[in-house]
Amino acid sequence: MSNSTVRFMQGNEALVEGAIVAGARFFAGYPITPASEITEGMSARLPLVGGVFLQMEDEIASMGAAIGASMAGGKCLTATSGPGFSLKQEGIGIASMMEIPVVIVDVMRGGPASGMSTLPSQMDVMQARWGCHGDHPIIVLSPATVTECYELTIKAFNLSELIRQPVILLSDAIVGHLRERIELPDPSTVKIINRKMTDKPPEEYAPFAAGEDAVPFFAERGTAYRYHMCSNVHTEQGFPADTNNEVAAKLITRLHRKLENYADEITCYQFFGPKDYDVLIVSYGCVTRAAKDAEKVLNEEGKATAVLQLQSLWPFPRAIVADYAARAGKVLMPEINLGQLIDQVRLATDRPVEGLNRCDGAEITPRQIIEKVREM
Amino acid sequence: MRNEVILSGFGGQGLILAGVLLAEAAVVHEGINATQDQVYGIAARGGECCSEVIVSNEGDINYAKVTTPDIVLAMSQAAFNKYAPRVKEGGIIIIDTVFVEDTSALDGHDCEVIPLPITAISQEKAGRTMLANVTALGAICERTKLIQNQNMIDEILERVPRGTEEINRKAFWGGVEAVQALETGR
Amino acid sequence: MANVMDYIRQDKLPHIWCAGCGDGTIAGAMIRAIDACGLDKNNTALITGIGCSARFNNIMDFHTFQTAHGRALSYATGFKMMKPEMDVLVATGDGDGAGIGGNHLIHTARRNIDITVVMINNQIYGMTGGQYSPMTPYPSLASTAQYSTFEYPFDVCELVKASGATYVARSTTYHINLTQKLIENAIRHKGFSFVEVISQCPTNFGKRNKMGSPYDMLMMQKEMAVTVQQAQSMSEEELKGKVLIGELVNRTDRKPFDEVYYEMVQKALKKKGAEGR
Repeated sequence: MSNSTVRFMQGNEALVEGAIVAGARFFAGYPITPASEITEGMSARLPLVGGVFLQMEDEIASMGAAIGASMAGGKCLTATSGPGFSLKQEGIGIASMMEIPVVIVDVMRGGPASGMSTLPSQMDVMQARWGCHGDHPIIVLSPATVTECYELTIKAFNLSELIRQPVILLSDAIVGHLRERIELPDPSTVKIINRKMTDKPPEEYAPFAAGEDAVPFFAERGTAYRYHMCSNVHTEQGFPADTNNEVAAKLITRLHRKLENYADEITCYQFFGPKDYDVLIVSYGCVTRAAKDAEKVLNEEGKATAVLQLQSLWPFPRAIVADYAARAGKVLMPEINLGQLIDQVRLATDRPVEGLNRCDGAEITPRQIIEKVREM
Repeated sequence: MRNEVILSGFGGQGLILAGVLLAEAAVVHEGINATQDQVYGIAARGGECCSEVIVSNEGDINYAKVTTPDIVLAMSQAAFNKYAPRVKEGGIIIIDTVFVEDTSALDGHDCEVIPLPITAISQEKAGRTMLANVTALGAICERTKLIQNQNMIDEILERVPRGTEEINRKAFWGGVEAVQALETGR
Repeated sequence: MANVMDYIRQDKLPHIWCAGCGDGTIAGAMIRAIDACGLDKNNTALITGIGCSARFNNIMDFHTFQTAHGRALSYATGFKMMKPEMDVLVATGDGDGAGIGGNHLIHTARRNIDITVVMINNQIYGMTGGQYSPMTPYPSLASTAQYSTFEYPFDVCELVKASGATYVARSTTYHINLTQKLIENAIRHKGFSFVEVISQCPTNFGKRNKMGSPYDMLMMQKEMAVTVQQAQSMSEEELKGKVLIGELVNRTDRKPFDEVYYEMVQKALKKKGAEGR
C-alpha cells in the first residue's frame, strides 16, 4: 500500500521535493529572481538528507561545482533564471561533452538583459537549445503545473543519469511562483534511474567506451578506476584527440545518437480536447493553462479546438506535432515571446500555423486565445 | 462554485501569507481546489501588495490570474482604489476602515461593502496590529463561507510559530465576531 | 625517494610542453611531494582548467579532469564536497587561475576548502601564443602588447592571502627543492593551500623579451628571489625588484570548509529534530 499526501505548494517548492526524491544530494546556486525559492529550499532540505548545499560566488561557479560534484558521483542540481542561464552555458557545454549528468533549472523571466525580473516569459526557449557553443545535444523539459514541476524534475534527473547528459528544466515565473494542489506520491513508489556502472576491471575500463545504447559506463571515484576526462574532443580513454577528425566525428555523432536512442523515453506531451478538431493549439509551460481554459470555452461555442501541450521541447518532438497537426485544419502557437518555437512547428506540418505572442511581461490570457481562434 | 479573491493592501501586512493560508485551507482541510499567486514587486516592504486566490470545487484551475474577483479585501486606500472597482457584479468588498476612508471609487458599482476596523480589532483582541491579516481571514470566512471557520483556524494554527497560537485565535475570532455584530446590528 | 615514473601515465609521454619549459620540472616536484605525503593514487584527484598547466593531469596517474578555462576551482569545490575523503589538487596557470578564474580563486581561498592549488606563473598565456596575462611584468612585450604592456600585474599571493587563504607560499622552478617542500607542506595543510611557482616560458615570453636561453631565465629567477628569512634583514631599498619566496602564510585559526559545513549540518539536524519535523 502506498500513501500519497495532498499538499499545497509553489512550483519552485515542488521542484525541490522532486529533486530530493530523485536523489539529488548536491546543489550549487546563486541568488536570482524568480528562482531563489529553489536555492532556498535546497539549502533547507539538503543538510537534513546528508547532502551538500553551496551558494557559490557566481552562476559560472555554481554550474562548475554541480558538474564537479557529479563527476564525483553525486546527483546534482543548479537553478537560475535568464541572466544566470546565459552564464551557465559554458558549463552546459562541458557537461554535454564530458557526459556528466546534471540538471539545470531556468525559471524564465522577462528579457532581454535584466529585463523584467519578476515577470514571466518564455524567451529562453532557443537559448536552452543553442545557448552554448558547438554542436551539442540537449534535453529540455517544460512544466505547466506544480505537479509537473515535481514530476518533470524527477524525469529530468532520470534522463540525465540514463543518458549521461545535462537536462534543462525550463520553468517560468508563473509556474514557479504559483501555489496549487499537488498529490505527492509515496517516494518509495517513484521510479529512480541511476547512471550505469562499469563491470569491467580497472585495467580494461575506458570511460568513454559506450554500450549499445551509445551511453558510456561510469566508475566509482576513489577507487582503482583512475581515469582522465577532458573537455576537448577525446578518445574512448578520455585523452585529448582534438586534431583527430575521425575521433571527433565519432564522438560528436555518438553524443547525439544517445538522445536518438532514447527518444521515446525523452518525449512527453499531453493532449486535451475532442478527437476531432479544427484548430490545434500547441503550447508549453504556463501558456498551457490559458490554452486549456480557452479550449473548453471554444468547444462549448462549437469551435472544435484541441490543445497539444509539449512537455519535452528539445529534442523537438516533431513527429508528435506532425501527427496531431495533420488532424487539424489550422494550428495556433501562443508563446510569451515574439515567436521562438513556432518555427519548429512550421517545419513539422504543412498546415497553416499562426502565432499569438506578447513580450510585455504579462501572461497570455484565455480571452486572447479565444478571440484569436475565433478569427482563424 | 468558483470564487476569485483578491487580498490587497501594502507590503508588510501579511496578505501574501493570508492568501496562502486561505488557499491551503481549501486544499488541505476542505479537499477542494485552490490556487494562490501574487503580484511581485522588487521591494519587500511598504509597496503595493496583492495576493490572488481562486477556490473552486469544479475541478482543475488552469489560468490562475484573477480577472473579476468575487471577493476583494482592501487594506489600504490605494489598493481599494485599484482593486475594488474590478469586483464582479454582486460581489463582496471587505475594507479595513483604519486605512480606507474614501469609497467613492466604487460609486455606481453593484456590490456589498463591509466596513470593519480590521487593524484596530487585531490590536484590541490580540494586542498587536500585525495580526490584522488573521482578523481579515476571520471576517472573510464568516461573511463568505468560502472556508468553514473551524477549518480556517485549524490551518492558521498549523502554520503560525509555536507560542503564538492564542493571539492568532483571538485575532481570528475577533474578525468573525465583528462580521456577526455587523449582521445582527442590521 | 619516489620513482617519479610510478605516477606517470607512460603511454602519454612525451608530454606536449616546449623544450626549456618549467612545467615538467614543477610536475616532477609535485609528484615527489605527493609521494612524500604518502597520498594514495586511487584516492587523489588532480583537476585543471585550460592552458599549458591544464596538461599536468594528462600525464599524471590519478583521478584526473581537465575542465573549462579558469573553472578548475569551481569543479574541484563540487568534487571535494561530494568526496571529502579524497585528496584534491588543482594545477593552474597565471591566466587560467588569476585571469579568467580570478573570482573563483578569491572565493575558494575565502571558504578555506581543503584543496591544494599549484599555480604555475609563467607570466604569459603560453598555449594560445604569448598574449599578456594579469601577471605579466610591466613593461613587457607580448603578442597582444606589440609595443609594450600597459597594465600592472597582480601579486597573486597577496591576493589569496587577503582572501583568507590559510597556507600561501611562493617558489620558482630554479628553487625546485624548495618548491617540492612547499607543495608537500601545502598538501599536509588542512584548508585551502596555495603555492605560486614562478616558471619560465622561453617560447612565448623569454624569446620575445630577449631573456636569452631557458638557462638564462632560470638564472634570472635565482637573481630576483629572496627567501622570507633573508628578507627580514633587508632594507626596503634592497628588496626593490625582488620576489619573496618561501612560506608567506601558515595559519590554523580557520577551520576547513567541509568541517564548518558539517558543523552546520549537525545544527540543522538538531534544530529540525527538536521541532519534530
